[in-house]
Amino acid sequence: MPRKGCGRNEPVIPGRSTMRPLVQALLCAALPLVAVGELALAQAQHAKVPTDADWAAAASAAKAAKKPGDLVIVAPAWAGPLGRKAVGEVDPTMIDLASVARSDLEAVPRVLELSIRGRDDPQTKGWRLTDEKTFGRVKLRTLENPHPDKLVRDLTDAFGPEATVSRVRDGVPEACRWEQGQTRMPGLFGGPSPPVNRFLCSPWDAGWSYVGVTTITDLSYTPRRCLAMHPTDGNVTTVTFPPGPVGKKVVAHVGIHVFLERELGRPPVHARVSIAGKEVAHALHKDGDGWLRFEGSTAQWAGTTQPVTLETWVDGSSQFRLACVAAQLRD
Amino acid sequence: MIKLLVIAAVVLLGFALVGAARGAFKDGFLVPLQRASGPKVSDHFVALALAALYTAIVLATAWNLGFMRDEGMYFDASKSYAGWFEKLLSADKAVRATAFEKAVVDAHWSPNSEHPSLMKSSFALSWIYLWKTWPEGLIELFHRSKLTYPLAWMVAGVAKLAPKLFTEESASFRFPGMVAGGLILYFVYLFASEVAGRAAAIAAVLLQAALPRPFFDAHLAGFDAAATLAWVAVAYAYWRGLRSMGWAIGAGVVWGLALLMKHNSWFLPVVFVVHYSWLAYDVLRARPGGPPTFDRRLRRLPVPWPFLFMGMFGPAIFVYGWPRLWFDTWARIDWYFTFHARHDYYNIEFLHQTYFRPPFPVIMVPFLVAATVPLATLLAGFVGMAARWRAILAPALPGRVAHVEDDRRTSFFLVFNFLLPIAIITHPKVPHFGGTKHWHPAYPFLCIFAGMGVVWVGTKLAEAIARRRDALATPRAPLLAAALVLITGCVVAPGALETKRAHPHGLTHYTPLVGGPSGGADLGLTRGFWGYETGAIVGWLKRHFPNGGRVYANDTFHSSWEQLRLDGRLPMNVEAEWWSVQSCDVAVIEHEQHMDEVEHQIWVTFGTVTPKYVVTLEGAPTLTVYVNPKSTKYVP
Repeated sequence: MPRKGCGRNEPVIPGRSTMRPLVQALLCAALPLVAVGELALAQAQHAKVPTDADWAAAASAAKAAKKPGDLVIVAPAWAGPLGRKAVGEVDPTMIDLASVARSDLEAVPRVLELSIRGRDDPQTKGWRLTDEKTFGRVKLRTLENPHPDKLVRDLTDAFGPEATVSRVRDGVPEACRWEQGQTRMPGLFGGPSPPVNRFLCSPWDAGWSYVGVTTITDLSYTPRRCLAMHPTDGNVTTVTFPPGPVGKKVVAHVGIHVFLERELGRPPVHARVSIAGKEVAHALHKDGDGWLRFEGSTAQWAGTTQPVTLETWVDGSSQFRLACVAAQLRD
Repeated sequence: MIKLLVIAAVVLLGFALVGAARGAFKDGFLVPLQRASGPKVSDHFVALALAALYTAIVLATAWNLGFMRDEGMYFDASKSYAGWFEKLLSADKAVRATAFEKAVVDAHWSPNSEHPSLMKSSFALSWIYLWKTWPEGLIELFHRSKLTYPLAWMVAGVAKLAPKLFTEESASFRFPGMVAGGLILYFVYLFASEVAGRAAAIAAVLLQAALPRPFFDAHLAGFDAAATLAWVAVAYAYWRGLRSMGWAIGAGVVWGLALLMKHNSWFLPVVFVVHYSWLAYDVLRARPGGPPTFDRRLRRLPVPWPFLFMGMFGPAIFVYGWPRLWFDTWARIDWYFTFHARHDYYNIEFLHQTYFRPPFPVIMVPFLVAATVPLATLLAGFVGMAARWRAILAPALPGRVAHVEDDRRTSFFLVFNFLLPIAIITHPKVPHFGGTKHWHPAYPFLCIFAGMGVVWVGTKLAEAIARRRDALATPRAPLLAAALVLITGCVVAPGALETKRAHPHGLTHYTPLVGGPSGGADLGLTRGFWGYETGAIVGWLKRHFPNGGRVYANDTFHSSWEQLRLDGRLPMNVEAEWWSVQSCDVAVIEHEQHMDEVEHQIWVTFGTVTPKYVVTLEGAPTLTVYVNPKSTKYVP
């Protein structure tokens, strides 16, 4: 009986049987089964964790299989640090910033993919699996691109002091100056790290008014190696590459660092690619577009040698519009 | 201290056994003690022994767990408060008097004034008396009055057994939080034993102890284990207070202490008002077999004394227990509530998307409950609720169907306490951050139901086995005990295993239901936060930087890093740096989606994408280490 207290005790009035026998039997069976099943599942998942030796063996096999033009990638993306560490320990040249922070794989004929948990890089969707080797819990998958573009010129790789970089207002260019400066890490919500080798443009702030190759984090938190070209109010930031080979098309991407785009409320940014002074591709990047692909035909200049110009400008305030462009001339 | 806790647990269990031999457990293990004669002293011994063992385990496993951002801030604040306590408890009367001066109070109590005093005060006192001055400080303190001489002798005796209580300073700050984690088990035992019997109580305690995320939180010098303790302790006192005037007074005192622990205790009266309304409606309505007149039914309604004492004591304890509120009281209370009403939204990743502001997905919190609480525990809780559904929903059911289990409508009370902490955070505009900790107060109530579910299934299993021989037989005690032990073991095992494996990376833990930690990474769930994972690389740093070096420590707070050095986990020549990363020897990145940009910055700054070391939990990276190729201090 309940003890005496300040409340007056109410007698217990039992209800009828609270559950039907079948439900009771099901619950009785389910609880131990689920518990044992959960335990077994935990053990199975634990057993599937790749070891360092698995990663190392797969990385060594990738080195043995690698041919010129192959790219080594890791899937899923969150396993990247483990894959890069293993590959880097075997041969640091096998995986670099350009391959990790790529825009796409369209101009890559073949990849060697270190894969766990049965995952593939989404950029290899539709590719042909030509070989698969298993090293413990890591697979080395050889995937071939059924329709690879032929890379003619990667403008990010081609960027250097020989380019002409300027800010243009009303058709009047203001030249930027080439410098080998100092990098610094801006930290969280600070934008990309400024490159050491860069052009510095007005207003001559090494923190943001540079033009150079860096890596931004796009709206999906994916790294993108590209040419940072921050426009300024009323100016067009222009990079002209000296004459070089041209293919049948240009494929470009433009993006804005995630911290500067995720608010989704700032003015759109224009990015334009011109060959021999003629526009061939133009994108209007609005906040929310992320890493925006755009392309144009360059067939009329295919096989010739031409200067290429990249431009960025903004409709409205240019504050926080650190546009970054990656462009490739392809066949 | 670990040794002392284990000895205490053994002694308490010994007392409980003596009690058992003298008939303390004669009511058995299945009878709800509220229907018998209530918990015995031996029950308290059992509950405290379990609490002490849990605290010992937590303390023994704290040495390799790094320090959260908030812990660093609380270390700093506690040291500031310690300065005030040293004045307050000074042997010099004149110094003691200064502790009540506004300038002195403000000087010491201004840091981290957005959180109340109790936990940080306990960190401070633990630091002063259990670390800095142990045992002389306490002996001197207790020697000031003849009344406390025995305590001084006791401290001296304990000090002979344990000349040093902790192996590192941080443990003294963390210890009160660990005790809070242990005391949760104490209240779970008491509550469950009264509602569902001792067997359910033991199962409930084991299930609560084997929850991976609360186990992680119990290690920290933070408020989250304490907030859970506050919730369950006040709920228990209120529930007891509906029958006992003493407990009603206790509810007021305990609620006051809860208000001094964390602001979410202000929600507790909401739970009690809803519960009491539900209870009143159900008691006062006419039902078959119940009292025929309203007047008679009214007499059966428990008098809500706890509300009176909560109103009397709660706010008073809150104000008098927090020296900062002694001056400019209203303005500072207003600031406190305004701070929490307009709390910043921090980021949280869910299904590959980082949310920086509301609205947060409604599904986020229920999903994370399912992804972080072992499925067996959830199912056992569901079974426990299902077995009592007529009691839980009694007021909503016709009188002939409803089950009146007791005069306090306990099952509904427990369910409401389980649901409300989750429901509050589920609201899309309530800040979501800090993983799952904000709704941990729900879990003791889940585990109480899970204990009931385990006993219900164990009993049914034993009955089924007994009936195979004789259709009318009831199971004998050994069979029943074996069935209960078997089912309890089955249901506790997944949580225990996951908790063991997850340590010390508890915030990366996800249950097998979603694929474990790697499954969580696949799903795009938060993998860690607040910088504690640097604690996992101290061994690697010592090995590869024997002559010291400078480390970009990413999200680790400077005082948290400093504690690694003060504790001796890191040598003093391994320094942290946040601003000139390009000249650091090492840069680390804690894997949290919005931190990805920092990793990309490291690649450009160091000119490499190849890590030297990756900390993982079950294959999921939690922290990645890059070495600057220009470093001259790195030893491969």
